[in-house]
Amino acid sequence: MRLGVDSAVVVARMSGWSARVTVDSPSSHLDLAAAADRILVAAFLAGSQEAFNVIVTRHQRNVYQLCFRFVHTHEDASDLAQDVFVRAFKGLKNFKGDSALSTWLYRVGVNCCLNQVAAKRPSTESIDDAQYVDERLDDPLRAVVRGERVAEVRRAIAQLPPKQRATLLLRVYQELSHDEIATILGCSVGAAKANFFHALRNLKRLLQP
Amino acid sequence: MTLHLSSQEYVDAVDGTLSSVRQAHVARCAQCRAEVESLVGSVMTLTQDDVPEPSPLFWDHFPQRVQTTTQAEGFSASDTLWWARWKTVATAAIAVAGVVVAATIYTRPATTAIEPMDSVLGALETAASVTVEAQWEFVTNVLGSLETEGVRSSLSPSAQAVDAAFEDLSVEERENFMRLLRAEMDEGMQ
Ligand SMILES: [Zn+2]
Repeated sequence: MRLGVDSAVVVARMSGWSARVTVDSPSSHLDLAAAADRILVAAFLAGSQEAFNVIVTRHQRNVYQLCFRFVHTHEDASDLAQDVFVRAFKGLKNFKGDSALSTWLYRVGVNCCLNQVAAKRPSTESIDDAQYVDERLDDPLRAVVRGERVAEVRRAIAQLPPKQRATLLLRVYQELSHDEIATILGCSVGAAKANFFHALRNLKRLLQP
Repeated sequence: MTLHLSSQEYVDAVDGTLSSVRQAHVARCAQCRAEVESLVGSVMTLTQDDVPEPSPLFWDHFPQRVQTTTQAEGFSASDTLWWARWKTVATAAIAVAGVVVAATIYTRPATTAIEPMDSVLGALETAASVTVEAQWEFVTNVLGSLETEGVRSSLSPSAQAVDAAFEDLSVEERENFMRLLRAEMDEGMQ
């Protein structure tokens, strides 16, 4: 990857080489909103809160959606997503840049989510059928049936072993590659594929009447 | 008779990336075909579930909400500065060591033709590999991805910048810096 002039400026500033100017300076010509993730990380590590806010803005939707898949309510998902970013804030200095920032955030997210659901007893996990009713559907009965089916599928997913559950959610809903999932879960690509296979198989078994 | 698909091959079949040889097996084998169809059916079941979209207001306020929480917990972005500052001096130490190594190699009769700048970069990489802090890897990655000209310019700190950085250090940080610098220079001279 070749970094542009702006990137060099950030690196220079981050390292204090040529000038001790922060990236939050009004005179800074660096457009954080358009900067690459790697540059934002460097700017954040140089003390820029604004750079971290851009990171949150850029990745909040994916992190929130992942969290929602684990907890199924907006309130819990937003609390969990907030927790993910707070952990990221504290842990970003350990980000080595050997994977994409999004992958690293997913890793933090999966850990937060698995901890959260492990702390909750399965019976207390909120599965509110009513919220699955899709109001866009014309036929209310169809909507209810669909809502019930979705609730049933969510309950089945919640019963999968943690790694299978995470793999399934990352693959089907976040549409990540097996390589990315392997990086997030710290396993081989083969193991990630095997997890996905067993997750689908177990899901089928759990959904059988 | 060929073997049935492995679990990984089933996933490849669902993804549509199964090799043509194995696809031919699936076409012939009712058992594998049924399993692939069942897996595809499971994926289809899953994709009917959408995440409800929160209000645009939620997205607008969320970064501020995170910032408020980190601040309430006593963290701020400037907390990372001590680390960045230490890294500054550490990187300066590596750069100085690199120049020393390069000068040594340049003045010595070389057995192979080595460009001085390459020597500096090589020395930087070597020096980076012996650093204690794993985070330095990130800095060298960033520096390593710059073009030579970029590295050359970024490795040209003004004396004032290094002085200023040094002035900001605590006594302990200065001692660590001097120890590191001596170690790097000793190594460069060997
Ligand atoms: Zn077969």
